[in-house]
Amino acid sequence: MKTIIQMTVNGELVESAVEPNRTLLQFLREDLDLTGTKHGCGLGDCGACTVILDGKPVNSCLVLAVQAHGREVLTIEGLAENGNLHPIQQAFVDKGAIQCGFCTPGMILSAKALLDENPKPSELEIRTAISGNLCRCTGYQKIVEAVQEAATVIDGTEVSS
Amino acid sequence: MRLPAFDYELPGNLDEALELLNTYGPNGKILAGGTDLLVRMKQGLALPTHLISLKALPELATIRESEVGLRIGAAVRLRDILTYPTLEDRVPGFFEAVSSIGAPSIQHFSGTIGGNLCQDNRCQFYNQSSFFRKARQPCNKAGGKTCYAWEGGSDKCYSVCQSDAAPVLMAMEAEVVVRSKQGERTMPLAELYSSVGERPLTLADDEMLTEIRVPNPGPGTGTAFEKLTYRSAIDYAVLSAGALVQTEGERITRARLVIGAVSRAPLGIPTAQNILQGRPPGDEEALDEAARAAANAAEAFIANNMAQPAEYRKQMVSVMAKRALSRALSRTGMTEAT
Ligand SMILES: Cc1cc2nc3c(=O)[nH]c(=O)nc-3n(C[C@H](O)[C@H](O)[C@H](O)COP(=O)(O)OP(=O)(O)OC[C@H]3O[C@@H](n4cnc5c(N)ncnc54)[C@H](O)[C@@H]3O)c2cc1C
Ligand code: FES
Ligand code: FES
Repeated sequence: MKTIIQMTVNGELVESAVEPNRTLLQFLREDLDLTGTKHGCGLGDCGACTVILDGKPVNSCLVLAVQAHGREVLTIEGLAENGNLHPIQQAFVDKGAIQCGFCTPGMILSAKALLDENPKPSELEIRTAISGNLCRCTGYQKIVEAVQEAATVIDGTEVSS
Repeated sequence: MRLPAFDYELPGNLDEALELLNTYGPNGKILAGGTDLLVRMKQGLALPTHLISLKALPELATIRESEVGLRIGAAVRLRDILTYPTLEDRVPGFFEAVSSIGAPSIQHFSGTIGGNLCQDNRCQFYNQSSFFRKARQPCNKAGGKTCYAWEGGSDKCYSVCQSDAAPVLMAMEAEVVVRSKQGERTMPLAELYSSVGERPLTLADDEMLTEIRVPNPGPGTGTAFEKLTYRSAIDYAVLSAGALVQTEGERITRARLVIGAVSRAPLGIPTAQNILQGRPPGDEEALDEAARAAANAAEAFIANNMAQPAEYRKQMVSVMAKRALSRALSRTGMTEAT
């Protein structure tokens, strides 16, 4: 039986009727056409489906859409503002942290959740924060450098403004 | 991978949840963080008709203090345990165990302690897609009549309890509170596990875990957890060991050792107590003896149920056991000093 759910996705209130067996990942990709969130393993192993739910990164493939009722979801589509990439996105581009790009949305959201809580993370803290996100291309080094770069940029803008 | 169909129930208080469990019996399953259950449902290993969500039960999601220790609600998230003030200093072994579960960045925000202790046993021949499993007859755990993890087959299921929180909590003699519509019972955590691979918990269909009671270790007592994995995150344990050691003066007075990820239930090694009691803390030979006792006890259970070779796991039991005991021992001074 379908249930009516409401949630805020990237700052916008959405309402929809969903079956209970619909995952948040399916809801975002198939119902809302937000295909930036990737479907990798579907089993919690790869992190490609990472979104930020009430400020915390979760595997959207293992969250029911009905469980996200009343909550706030941030996906990769919600990061850029007025056509400008978020500093983490920009750093990923600048540092060559993107190859095929499949892990990138999840990586960036895990990095964002980290930097929101801990603006000056150590390398180990960065590696721990992205430890649930697998990348088959980059070997992680450039991703770590991109997150370090983004931390510096975000810190700099906050001081000057 | 899509989830099979089910009805979603969102009880607003514990009594309602217990009523629903009572109504649906074996067809109802509790949904806590879902990081174990939803995976199994996607693989067709669990097909409940009703999922009973714990999301709206804040009473299960709090940590309270009692005179004897911590009372942790079953639906407390792993992350909230790790960030609970002073927990790391008070019970470092428990902290280490929870830290090691899955990927800290992700599973810790969804996964709960109750879900961790109640997760189903695992085996490399069972926890697979239905496509993979279709290539052979079903095994014992899947309703069939053999075990692929045991050479030549077996009428017993050689699946493994993979809870990382359980071994050290058992070593600490933690208790669990179980509720049903009929009432409440409190029992040692060890009694939550049945040692039957097909049905690893002793809970009845209408029962649920509501609280985990973690006793304060007391003066002169140290705890530790050791986990063997290939990667430092995401992986389930290849083997693990939880330990509690207490010293008084220059003697060991209490030693509890529990080996994880070897058997259908966390494997307590009661002989560790006999071996270590009365020995001085610096007695390496005593630790080796206890570690060997663990390896002997574990050997009979280690099957081909993981990707890692059974022979390697057999060799590593004593290593993990000794590491856990040594570290617990090195911490016995910490509680007195504070
Ligand atoms: C990629 C990945 C890696 C993982 N790695 C590890 C690991 O290293 N170590 C480890 O221990 N686990 C691991 N897990 C398993 C799981 O994430 C954790 O054990 C987690 O703590 C389970 O909690 P949950 O709330 O998500 O459980 P759920 O999936 O919600 O529940 C698990 C089971 O327990 C039952 N249950 C839940 N709460 C109760 C209750 N209060 N009373 C009775 N029954 C209940 C459910 O019905 C279900 O059968 C991993 C999972 C994934 C996806
Ligand atoms: S798709 Fe969700 S973790 Fe891989
Ligand atoms: S860039 Fe290809 S998976 Fe990470």
